[in-house]
Amino acid sequence: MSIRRVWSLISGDLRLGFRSPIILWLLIMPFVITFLLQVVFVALFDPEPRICIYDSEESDISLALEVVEGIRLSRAESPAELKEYIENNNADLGLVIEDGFCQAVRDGQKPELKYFFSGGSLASNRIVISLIVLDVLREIENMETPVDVVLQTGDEEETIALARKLIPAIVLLVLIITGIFVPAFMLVEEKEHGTMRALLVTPVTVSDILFSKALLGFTMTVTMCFITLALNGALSGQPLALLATIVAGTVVCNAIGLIYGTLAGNAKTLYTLVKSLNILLAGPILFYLFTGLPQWIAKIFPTYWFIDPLYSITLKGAAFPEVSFKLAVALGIGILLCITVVPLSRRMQRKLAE
Amino acid sequence: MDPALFVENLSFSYGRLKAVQGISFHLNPGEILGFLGPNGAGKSTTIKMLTGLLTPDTGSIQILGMKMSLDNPEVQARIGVCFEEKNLYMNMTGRENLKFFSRLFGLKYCDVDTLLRRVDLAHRADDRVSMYSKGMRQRLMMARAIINSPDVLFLDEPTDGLDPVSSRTIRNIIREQAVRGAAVLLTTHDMWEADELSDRVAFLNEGKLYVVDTPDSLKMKYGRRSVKIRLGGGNQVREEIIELGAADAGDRIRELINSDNVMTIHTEEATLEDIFIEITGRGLDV
Repeated sequence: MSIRRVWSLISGDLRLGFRSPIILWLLIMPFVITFLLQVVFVALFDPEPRICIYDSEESDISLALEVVEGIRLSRAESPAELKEYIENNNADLGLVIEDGFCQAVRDGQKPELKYFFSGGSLASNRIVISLIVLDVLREIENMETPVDVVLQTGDEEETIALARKLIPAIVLLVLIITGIFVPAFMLVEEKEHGTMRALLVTPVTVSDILFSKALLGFTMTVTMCFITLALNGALSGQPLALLATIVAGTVVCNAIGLIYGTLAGNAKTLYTLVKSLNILLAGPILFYLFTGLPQWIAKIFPTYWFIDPLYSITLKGAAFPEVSFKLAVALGIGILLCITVVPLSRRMQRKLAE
Repeated sequence: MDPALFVENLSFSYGRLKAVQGISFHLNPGEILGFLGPNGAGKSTTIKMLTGLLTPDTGSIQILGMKMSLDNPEVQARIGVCFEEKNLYMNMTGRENLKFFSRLFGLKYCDVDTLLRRVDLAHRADDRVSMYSKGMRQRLMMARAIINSPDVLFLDEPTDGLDPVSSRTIRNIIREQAVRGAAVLLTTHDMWEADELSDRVAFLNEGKLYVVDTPDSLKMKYGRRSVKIRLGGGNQVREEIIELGAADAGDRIRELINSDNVMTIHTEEATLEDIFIEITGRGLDV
């Protein structure tokens, strides 16, 4: 194998890669998935309750609501503007504080308080805001609350937001799609277009070709994984552990990509392989999303050995020593898969010539 | 002079099908050897073995004194190959294709523009190959095959299905390469092309090599040495065939020419196709 020839092959692949719609899609995929995740799981399923207030005299109630955490407060300039806010579903609940409302509360007059709400708002948000407003009113009335509510988190696993739980899944998706697909697709393209034969009658060897595809896939995958983690705010304070995990995962995925690429004679076969087998690689993710499932089953999947460390590092802040054993297993799997590529490459060479 | 290519007892089978059966030949520097045979004769399989793509079942291949194998970059650096199938990078331009391959050969300097001009592609150098016609692609493949000034050039049906202009360009390049000193192995089932280009021809049929000789020698050996003279007089046209070996052949030809009735004179030597059929019992276009 020659570094010069490998570099020449990579430079050719880079030139071709940026002209390939599939490779371009792989490059923008982390951005698209992150965007979708933010929209679906953060904006849609996990929004903060929103309240809009019209309060002409800046009463104590609106001042008290301003400091409450966990709700989003906006102010309307007029009752008409508040109505518009609600109708457009820009707030879950609207509150019009009449002049002298707070004083009336203090005087024990029990004044009427009107809530306006939109049909598009979540019932849970309306309840949350209602309870918060009642709590604030009790304070203004100087009444003692009948109980002290203490917030106690449950199982650590359960307190991680779904959007955060999905971060390792997105990284796995990047690993599977970029790490496996880039080397596999590039190899298959060379075979399908006959250019592999043209390369093999130059000083380029099969090892040069395989190594160049793997190296390009490796670089792209590691970069895309870190971009994905950064986009999702999951670059933890454990850079060494994170780097080691991504590297181990990429080695496994690149080796699988080379296996797919050497086995498949054309793009159709490759897509069939990817569609039928990648679902098995993504298996461990199910065990993180559904923690009630027997967790030992996840260990059967080769991807578990780098996804579990990734989960521990990004979501629980685990350090390198805590995940080193699993990473060593992942690296071992990667090396075994790389060894498998050798006889497959000889088979590919024979098939190419026939 | 040491042969540029030395092949001994080469065989290859695809399962039970014997594609090449114990062929032996050699090719000298500056020589063009035409491999003639019908489809399925074993020409492409032989080229694949000679270029290292296939490992022979038996036999040996020596190129420039070195053993041929796919993992021998030293040999690969000194050969050029032009396949029958079009295997260029379609999303690269013609210029990019050549530059890419020049880097793979480790050439420090490569005059791609001169090469593109030589194959009449200078005006389309920066167009993607996917926009090229069949003839243009074949010419670019030819340029790619000679980018490293190879000592041994393997050409598999290089003019198959091309327009006359592209075919002529490629034939001229083949001649230039031989003049430069390259040994050229050319497979074709076009006997006219083989006759025009080849210093020697080899007849391959059903994986067996029947004969390797110069076209002239084969014609002498297998063809008829005769002249056909068409004579016209009044409304009648008649033909006379004169065997050149006959004792009075010269006198008879002179006599006919002096008669003022001669319309045409044709030599009656055999074509390579005739000889091929005579030797192998099979036509070239089968």
